[in-house]
Amino acid sequence: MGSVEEKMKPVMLKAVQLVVGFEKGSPLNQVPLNFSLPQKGLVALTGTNGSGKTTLLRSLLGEKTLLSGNWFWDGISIPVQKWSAGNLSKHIAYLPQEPLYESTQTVQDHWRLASKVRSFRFDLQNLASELGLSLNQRLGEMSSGQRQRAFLGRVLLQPCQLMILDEPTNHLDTELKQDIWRTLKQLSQGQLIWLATHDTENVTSYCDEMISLSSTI
Amino acid sequence: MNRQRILLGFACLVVLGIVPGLGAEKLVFSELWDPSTVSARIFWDLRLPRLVLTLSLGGILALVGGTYQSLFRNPLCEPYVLGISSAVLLGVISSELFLQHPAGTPVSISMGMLAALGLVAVLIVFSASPLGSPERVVLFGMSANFVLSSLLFLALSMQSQNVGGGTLKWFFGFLPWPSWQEGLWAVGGGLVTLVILGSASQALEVLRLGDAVARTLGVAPVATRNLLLVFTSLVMAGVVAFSGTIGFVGLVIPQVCRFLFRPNSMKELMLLSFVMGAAFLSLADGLSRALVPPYEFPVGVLTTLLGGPLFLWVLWKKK
Amino acid sequence: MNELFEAAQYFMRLADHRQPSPLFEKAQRVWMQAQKEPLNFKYLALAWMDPPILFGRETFFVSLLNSLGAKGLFPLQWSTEFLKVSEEWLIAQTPERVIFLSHNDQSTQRFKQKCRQWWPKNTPPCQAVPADHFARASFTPVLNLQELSPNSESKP
Repeated sequence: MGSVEEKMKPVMLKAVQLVVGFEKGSPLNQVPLNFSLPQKGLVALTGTNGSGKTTLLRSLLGEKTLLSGNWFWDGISIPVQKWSAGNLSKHIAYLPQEPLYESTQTVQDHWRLASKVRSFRFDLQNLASELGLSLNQRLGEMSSGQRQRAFLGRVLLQPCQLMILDEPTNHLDTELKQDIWRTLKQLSQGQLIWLATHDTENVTSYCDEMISLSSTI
Repeated sequence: MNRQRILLGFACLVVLGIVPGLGAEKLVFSELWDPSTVSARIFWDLRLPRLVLTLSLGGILALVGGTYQSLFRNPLCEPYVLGISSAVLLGVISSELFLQHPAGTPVSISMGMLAALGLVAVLIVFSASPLGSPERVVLFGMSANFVLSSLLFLALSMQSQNVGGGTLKWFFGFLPWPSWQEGLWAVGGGLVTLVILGSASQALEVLRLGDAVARTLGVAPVATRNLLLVFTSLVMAGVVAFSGTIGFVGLVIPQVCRFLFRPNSMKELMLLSFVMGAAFLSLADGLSRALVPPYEFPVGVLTTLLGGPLFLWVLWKKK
Repeated sequence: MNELFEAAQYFMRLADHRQPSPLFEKAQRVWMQAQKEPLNFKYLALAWMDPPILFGRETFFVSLLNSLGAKGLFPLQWSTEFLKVSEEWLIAQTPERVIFLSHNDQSTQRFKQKCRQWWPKNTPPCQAVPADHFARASFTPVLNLQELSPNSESKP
């Protein structure tokens, strides 16, 4: 079941009759999902564990998790789940729930990977200071909270129209959580940020919209 | 960090200086410039082309090993992990048994390459299928390796004594005395491998973040992995068809480089691995010929003797 | 070898052979000849070409050659049956004859080719001897080795 608060905003992304699940597996939602996402704003995706949040997000990223239905991006006729990597990288940035990383990489090396998409002249040092990190620290030598901040930094460095985040405030203490929510809120004025989260308190404070999934019975 | 790189450069120069002097016979320096003398012939016709060959092969092995370790997220990957070497050996030995073309001839090498391509095709189909995660591809390759190895041993046991008496050398890894032409082909192969894998280095780094993230960074995971599989398999098929399975270089050198130099990028790791692999194999080869003259150990024995303790040392220090 | 001939004669008498076999007689003649005029040259005896494997001091083949007066070239410290040697070592030797145990025409051709390659200056006479003849203990080898005597020339 899906419940969506409709607002009068230009639509960027539309979900049509989505049924998510794993290939050859049983569907995670009984009723096909239909909703739209606006061009700008902070949208939350909530639901209990196992309700299919990550699976739904991944269906936008070329993973074969759509059993039926399509995603439509405004103005592009090819459904998003069929986009090439080149096309995806122009529009979407993604942070998974437990990101993989190379433990010998420094923060700087990790952030440099985002430059594969396009050249960016962000001041790395600035971003590092804002996130409370040192560019030369190695990912393997950090606490999980610091690492999560480094991962967020990588995504923040990627200019995109849609930022998809899966549990971005994982491992962060309350104060830092607030910082991140505030930053995301600010960024969402220029782009769409869609995040899956358990943090229902902050959802009500910061998000413009919420999409809620409930698991199948 | 810089200090260690300087040390590496220095060590390489030392290796380059020493290795041409290593071998079964002692050379007379003054005779080197007279082409008719034994010393000159040994140096210019035998040892130098061999040095050029070992530098290239060593670099290639280390590069492919490092690439596989990154691609399959497994620090214990050797360049032979996908079973390509067994396929090649099976092709080569089959050509000897059934087609009467002994190992080392162009026909046998073509058979080896054909067998390798067959396996690559199977690997790609598997990798592109829903089951084909990188870790599973390695497991699949290892199973293929077991099956092919048993077929190989069956074929070997069928051999009469006269056919390919030197066949066992393929398993130890051996190096021939190449002609200058063969040596230069090897250099070409080494450079091509370095350029292609080097340019794939950033894609490899991005792939480490996971398939979905890789797509958002512009790297198509399945296509990239398949292309790399095909290319590295072709390169390894060529190496194995030429010199059998020289072990430990591809496994140990990238690990040692990572440990000693802490490179900041895959590209840097690749360059360092290439250089160090080249130096390592040439040194191993030189020693294999100079330890108990005029007997020459198969080079695989030396790479294991040198590489094994080196690997253990890295594992120990890493704790 | 003398003992070998004596033993063979003894067994033949036991088996009641009135006529000694022609092969035996010929071999005995060649042997006697060689005792008078020993094969006086330095040789390399190769069992295999690629990698080069020498017949070692402990082999029948080398014992045969040495007892006919020839001098084998060996790396100093090795005394095993078959020695794998480096091509470098081969190039550095100066044999007066090179003998190879050949299995077929193809390998004979390769052998002659390799000899030219290893010793381009003053290529020594290189002779391929059929491996079949050495497959069992017999006197046949002596007949082949007759060709190596100073009275016969084998061209490379």
